[in-house]
Amino acid sequence: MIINQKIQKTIEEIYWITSVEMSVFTSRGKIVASTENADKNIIDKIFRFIQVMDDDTIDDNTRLFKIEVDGDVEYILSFENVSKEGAMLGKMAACQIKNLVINTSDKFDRNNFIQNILLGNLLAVDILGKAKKLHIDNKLRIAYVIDTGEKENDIVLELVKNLSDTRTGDFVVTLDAHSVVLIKDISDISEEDQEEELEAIAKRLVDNLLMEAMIKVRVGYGNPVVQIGDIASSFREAKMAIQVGRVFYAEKETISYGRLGIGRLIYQLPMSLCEMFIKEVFGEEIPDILDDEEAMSTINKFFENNLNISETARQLYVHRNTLVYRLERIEKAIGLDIRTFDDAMTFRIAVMVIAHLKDMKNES
Amino acid sequence: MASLELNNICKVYSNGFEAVKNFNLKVEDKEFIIFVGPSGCGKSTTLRMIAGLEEISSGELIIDGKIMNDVEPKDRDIAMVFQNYALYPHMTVFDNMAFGLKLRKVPKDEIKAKVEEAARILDLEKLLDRKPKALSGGQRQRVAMGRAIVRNPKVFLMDEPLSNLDAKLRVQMRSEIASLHNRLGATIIYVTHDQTEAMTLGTRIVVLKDGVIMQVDSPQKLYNEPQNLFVAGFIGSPQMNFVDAKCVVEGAKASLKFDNYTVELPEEKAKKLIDGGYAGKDVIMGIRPEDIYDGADELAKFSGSVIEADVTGYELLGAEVLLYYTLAGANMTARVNSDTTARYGDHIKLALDTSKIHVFDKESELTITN
Repeated sequence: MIINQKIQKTIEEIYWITSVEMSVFTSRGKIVASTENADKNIIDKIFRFIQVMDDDTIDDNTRLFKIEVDGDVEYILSFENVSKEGAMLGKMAACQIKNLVINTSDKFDRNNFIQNILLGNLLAVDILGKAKKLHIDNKLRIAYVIDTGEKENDIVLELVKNLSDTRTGDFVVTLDAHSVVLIKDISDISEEDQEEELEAIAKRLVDNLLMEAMIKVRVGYGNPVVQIGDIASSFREAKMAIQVGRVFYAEKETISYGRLGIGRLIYQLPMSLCEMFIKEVFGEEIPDILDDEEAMSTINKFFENNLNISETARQLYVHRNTLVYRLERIEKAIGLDIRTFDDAMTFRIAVMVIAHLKDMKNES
Repeated sequence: MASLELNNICKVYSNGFEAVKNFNLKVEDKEFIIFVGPSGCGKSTTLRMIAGLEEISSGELIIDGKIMNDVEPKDRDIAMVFQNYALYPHMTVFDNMAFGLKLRKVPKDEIKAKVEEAARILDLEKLLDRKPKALSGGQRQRVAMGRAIVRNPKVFLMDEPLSNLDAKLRVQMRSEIASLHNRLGATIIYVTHDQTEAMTLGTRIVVLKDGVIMQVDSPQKLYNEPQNLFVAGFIGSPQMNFVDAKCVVEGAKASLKFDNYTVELPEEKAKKLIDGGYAGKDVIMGIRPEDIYDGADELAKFSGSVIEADVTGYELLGAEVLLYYTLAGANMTARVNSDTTARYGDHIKLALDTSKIHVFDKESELTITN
């Protein structure tokens, strides 16, 4: 349907320039588009014209042109000007429509192809052949998943398309109503800058969507791949990064699959094992202090500073002794002395496991 | 442009974390307000609540007299500028600035007029046909600003827009933003962790810590009259020196005692300490590095407040020198003239300008003397 709308728009523009009424029919005689006062009852003329070998002909007061794509007659253009000048204008109009059809179907095919790879609908052998036909080379590419949460993805799709280089190696596709997938050509990024640049691309996506459309998104990205068929695995990694990030790193707007840390492991633990671990660490009751904002921000800052009391106190703008007092209070509440490495590690994992348990319960 | 009110705004996340607590602020039309504070203090969260990108847990956000809590971000008539901006690579400067308006289905004539006006304000008129790759870093940043300006919003929200620029460009853009504010007459709320940016740009600064407003004031007042220990330490570089001291009162006179020194305070400050009942109590003395002198004239002028110390560090900054030393167990800094003869390891005399001394309550950390 999109192609029909494009043909309609194109012939209206040609009419605006040439003032010649015209219509476009399929090779089966179905009308696709026409200008306002064009003669649409010429089905007999269309069928007569299809039978002959000529590329164009004059029938009564109409000049007809065949529009061929890949050797097959796809459309017929009727051009209501039989003068010599009309022949030239009609040929140009037919040429314009032909190129429009080729470009549109190519673009559609390319995006459709990428969608099918991401969904796992193609066999490896088919991917190779089709990629060659669509002139899609193997290049270093990466999948970004832009998660719009509850919001619809239409504006995000439009913005991401414009931010990317879809005329060369990038592809922007949608697989559902709440996310957009960007397959980005990163062959021009040097290996040493790769990690930093990939993160910068993700951050740019987030900030631009906020700036232009006031839409808050979360961006996850996978590992780079070269073979076009492997882009599905980069996509799966990006999706997993989004899921793991949602559970363990809620404050992060960009999440790399390569930097999921311990969240990657905990995310795959079964519920029974998680419950057993939490019971082992905290007993029957999860301590209330885990909901205490001051205590948790103190703990997080302490971990950020590698258990360094002086530096943590400095960054929290509290006296060292105040921090020591807080840590002792935390120790009493949770039964772990987070000033020691082992207990700090146990506590950190336990907090993540609790987040995972909550997520699993919400999901179910 | 517009006025903006935040009444008792709070942000509590689902895990119970309270990012912003009871935030109250009235922003007047055409004000340039800065939110400044260490990372995690709630400044970006507050900005995002104003934009509608974060839900307000409780409290009221009012823009131009209308409650905005439940209004969609796109309908709040607000424009945001972030640090990680990117221009559309295949579009000209004109199209880059026009794109947001096209998305909002603004008529073509209106788009043209708005983009040309923004280009004039930003001095981009001659670059409208250029593609982003043909622009310098500063020009690109201006185009990013232009994308916000064309929307003619009631309020501009800027979240550390200069953090990704190199030091030189940052200084240049800082002055451009200041002049843009004057030309647009816009209401701007600007988030930064950089206190130099805050001091140079803002008409008023909101200092935040742990989601709580510590002080709202003009840059000058914030520097000269900090209301608490946090603001005193956060604003100013090098930061204010702090020394634990005891308040000694004799009649109408009050002094601060630390180490072997007793420094008599001026009458006005002494009265505040006496009236506040601080006689014999532990307090914190604060003094900025530039209020400590090593010149002969000042040593004579402030003879009652001279201390002796060993220089543990010497940093020549060009016009001035930073001298590091220890006093009463605290690390101290003095910013003195570059003609000082003091060097690393020297035993020197330093005079404290007692009129510039700040005294803070040791428990509440609030100012006593300001």
